Amino acid sequence: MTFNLSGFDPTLAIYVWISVILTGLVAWLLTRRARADRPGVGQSLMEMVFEFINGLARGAMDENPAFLSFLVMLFLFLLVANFQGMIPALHSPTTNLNVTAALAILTFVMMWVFGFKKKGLGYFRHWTHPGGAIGMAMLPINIIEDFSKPLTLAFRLFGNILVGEIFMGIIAAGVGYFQGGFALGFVWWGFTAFVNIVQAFIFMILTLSYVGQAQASDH
Amino acid sequence: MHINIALNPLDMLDALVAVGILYLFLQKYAFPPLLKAVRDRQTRIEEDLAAAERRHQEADQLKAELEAQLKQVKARAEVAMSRALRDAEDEAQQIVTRARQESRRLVTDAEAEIAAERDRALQSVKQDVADLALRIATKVLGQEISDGVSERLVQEFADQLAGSRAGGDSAP
Repeated sequence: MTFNLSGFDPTLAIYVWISVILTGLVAWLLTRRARADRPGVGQSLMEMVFEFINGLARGAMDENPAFLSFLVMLFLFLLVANFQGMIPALHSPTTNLNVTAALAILTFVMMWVFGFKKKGLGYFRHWTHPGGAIGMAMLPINIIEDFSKPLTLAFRLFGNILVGEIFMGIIAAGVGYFQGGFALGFVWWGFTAFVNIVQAFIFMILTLSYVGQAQASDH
Repeated sequence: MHINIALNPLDMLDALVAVGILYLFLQKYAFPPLLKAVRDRQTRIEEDLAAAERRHQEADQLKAELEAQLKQVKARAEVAMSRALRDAEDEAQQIVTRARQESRRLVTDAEAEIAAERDRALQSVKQDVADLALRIATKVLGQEISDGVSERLVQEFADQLAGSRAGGDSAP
C-alpha cells in the first residue's frame, strides 16, 4: 500500500463519473414523472428503497430528511458502482480503495459532525465508556475502535467487490477451456450480483448505524 | 486487471466531488418529485380517512336521530293505538246498549201488537158467536128479529158470554 500524491488516475475518475451519471440518470428517469395516484414500476421501486431506508433510519437516529436522502443516494450509487463491474469492458469504481476510502471518510466525518451537533464536546465522553478506572483503561481501545470504523468500511467494500470482479474475470477467461465453465460463470455471476447488493446495503446500514450511535444518548 | 491499493488524495477528492454532485443532483431533480408524490398520496389518504371519519360520524348522528324519531313514532303509535282501543271499546259498548234498547223496544212493541191482536181476535170471536146465536135463534123462533132487538140480544149474549168466560176462567 502506497500513498501517492501526484498520480491522479483518470481511468478511475471516468469509472466514478460513469457510476455517478448512471445513478443520476436512472434515478431521474424513474422519478421524473412521479405521481401520487398511479405510480409506475420504477417509481414504486424508488419509493420502496426510500421507505425501507427511512424505516431503518427512524429506529436508529433523529429524523433528518437530508441525511435520509444521503443514505438513499449512497445506496443507489454503491449499487450502480458495484454492478458496473459486471458490464463487459467496464470496471467497478469500488474495486479501487481510493473510492471506498473516500466514502468511508465521508461516513466518519458525518459521524463526528452529527455527534458534535447533538452533544457538543460531550461526544468524546464515549471514549471513556463505561467510565471510572475501566473507562480510562478503555480510552485507547475506544479511540482505535472509532478510527477503525472507516478503515473496516473501506476495506470490506473494496475487498468484496474486487474479489467478485477478479473471479468473474478468471471464469470468463477460462470458460472455453474446461467443461461446465459457462454454468460456473453463470452461478458466479448470480453470486456476485447478490454480493454487490449486500455490500451496498451493508455500507449504507453501517453508515446509518455509526451516525445513529454518535447521536445516541447512551453512547 | 490492475489492482491499486495506493491511496491518492486526488482520486479520493474526485470521488467525493462526484458523490457530492450526485447528491446535489438527486436532491434537486430526482428526490423532490418522488417525495412530493409520496406526500401528496399521504395527504390524500389522510383526507380520505378524515372524510370517512366525518361520514362515519354523520352516519352515527343520523342513526341516532332516526332512532329518536322511531322512538317518538312508536310512542305516538302506542298512544294512538290505546286511544283507538278505548274508542272501539266505547263504540262497542254504545252499540251493545243501543241494541239492547232496540231489542227491548221491539219486544215491547211486539207485546203490544200481540195484545192488540188478541183483543181484536176476541172481539171478532164475540161478534161471530153473537151472529151465530142470532141466526140459530131466528131459525128456532121462525121469525125475523128486528134490527134493534137483534142488536140488543147480541149485546146481551156477548155480555153473558164474557161473564161466563170470566167465570169459566176463574173456575178451577
